[in-house]
Amino acid sequence: MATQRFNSIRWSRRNVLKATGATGLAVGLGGGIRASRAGGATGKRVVVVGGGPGGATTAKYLRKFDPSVEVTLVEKDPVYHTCFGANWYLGGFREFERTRQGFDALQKEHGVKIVQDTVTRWDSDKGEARLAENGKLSFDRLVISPGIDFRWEDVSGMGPEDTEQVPHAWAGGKQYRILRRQLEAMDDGGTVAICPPTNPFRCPPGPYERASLVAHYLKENKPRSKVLVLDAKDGFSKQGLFEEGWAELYGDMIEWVPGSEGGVIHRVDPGNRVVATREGFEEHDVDVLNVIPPQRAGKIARDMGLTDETGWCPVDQRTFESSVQPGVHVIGDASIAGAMPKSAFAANNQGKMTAAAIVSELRGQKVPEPSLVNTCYSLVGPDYGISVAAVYHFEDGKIRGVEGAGGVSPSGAGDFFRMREARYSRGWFAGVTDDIWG
Amino acid sequence: MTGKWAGLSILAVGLLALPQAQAEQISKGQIMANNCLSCHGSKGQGPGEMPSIQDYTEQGLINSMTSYRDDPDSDATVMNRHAAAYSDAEIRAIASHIADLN
Repeated sequence: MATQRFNSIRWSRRNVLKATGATGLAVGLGGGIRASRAGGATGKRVVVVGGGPGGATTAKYLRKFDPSVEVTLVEKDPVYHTCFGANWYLGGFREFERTRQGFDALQKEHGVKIVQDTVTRWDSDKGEARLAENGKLSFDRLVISPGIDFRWEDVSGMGPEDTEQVPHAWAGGKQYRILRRQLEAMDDGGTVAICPPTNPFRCPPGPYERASLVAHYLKENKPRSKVLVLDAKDGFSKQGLFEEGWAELYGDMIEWVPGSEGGVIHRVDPGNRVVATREGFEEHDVDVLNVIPPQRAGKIARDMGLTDETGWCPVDQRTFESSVQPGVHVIGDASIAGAMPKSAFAANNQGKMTAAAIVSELRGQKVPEPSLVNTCYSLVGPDYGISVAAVYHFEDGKIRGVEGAGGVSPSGAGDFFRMREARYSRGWFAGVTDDIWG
Repeated sequence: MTGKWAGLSILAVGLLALPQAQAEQISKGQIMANNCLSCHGSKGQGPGEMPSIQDYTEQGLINSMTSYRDDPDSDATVMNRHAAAYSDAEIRAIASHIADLN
């Protein structure tokens, strides 16, 4: 206790020095020792690629940990649209605009330089990243947070050109609007098919939250309709809780077909919205078709050789530094992060840990011992929330769950508990977007 | 020497006297405390429908976390599942940093 208290006093004292601009004076008075202590990261440059949860968090926390580090965030779009919270929009009880996040606070409040551009390649030995339009950026460290890319070669019959007809809605923004418009245009009595991919993929509970909230929309507006989940897998995240909620809220409106019982997609006919299963022997002629393709790390990670044979990026799970390229860190969905799922929450947490590791290393200090958490909230209905949580530590070279902690919401918990977790789901959205972009 | 300069000198000497490696090192306590902010907001303010942790005293945070961890009748939904991971010392380290947020 005494030690902790002492730590925070020192922390405050340093902040006072910085806030009053007296650091220079202290250097003058204290000489070389003070200078080397404060000077460890001064003027060091970190370039962060990707303004999603992983990248934006890293950029912000690099500056929070050490405002003397120069941080540039390169993002191709002027705003970022979240996937989390976007199923609520599909359910008809959340405005689309709430998914939109800007970079103003990062720039104005945290001093992150924002460059709207695309990184096309880099040379990690020279510390130089090439931009599509604005020349190049020099860096001491590079952080890549590229998210996911789709394995279209594993979806027979359709490709990216068909996503107006058959949306994936697995990247934020426009794709969600397309799917929502199709749901609105569908007649009562129609069938909506959702086809989740094989593991691992972004947001493990996401397809099942989507099935729930599409059912919510249909129940309120088109009650004779149906949701058909054609799954590549035989099980899914929070399955018991989802199925309990489905039975309570939607009766038999949602049908889940596991992979081994005919859920695996054989071929898609996007023009007619027909999906064939059972090696082509069974056809489902549906009214709205949502195919979520299997996934791998974002394209730039693959192009630059950061991926392994799995399609994802191996990293030192303590610092998220690439196992392939020293000085380049890969975080979020694209990384292989031990027991952590591919979630925005995980990417946000990894961003903070990576920022701490980079600042420590730039200063020549010891990297703090990792501690990470994840909480995935899902809404089964607007007032019916469930969650899965975990706390992670670093042991024997990997991020592992702390035994005896974490787990899912209790089954049979009752309406009040579910309602509270629904409120916290919305609260989490507000909290994490503030922690990432605020 | 004016009082102001004398004060600053003492402050500077104080800094020099601290063990160098520890002075700015990012602690595990900071890492753990930052993890709270992923739900409770970047200042712990509890935006939207998320409860605030900003106005807790350090001891209040320790009491809450300990109760979430040890008391099966606490009113937690998810905090019991988080608190279960932490030792008394870790809870104290988290509380110390959260109490310093503003």
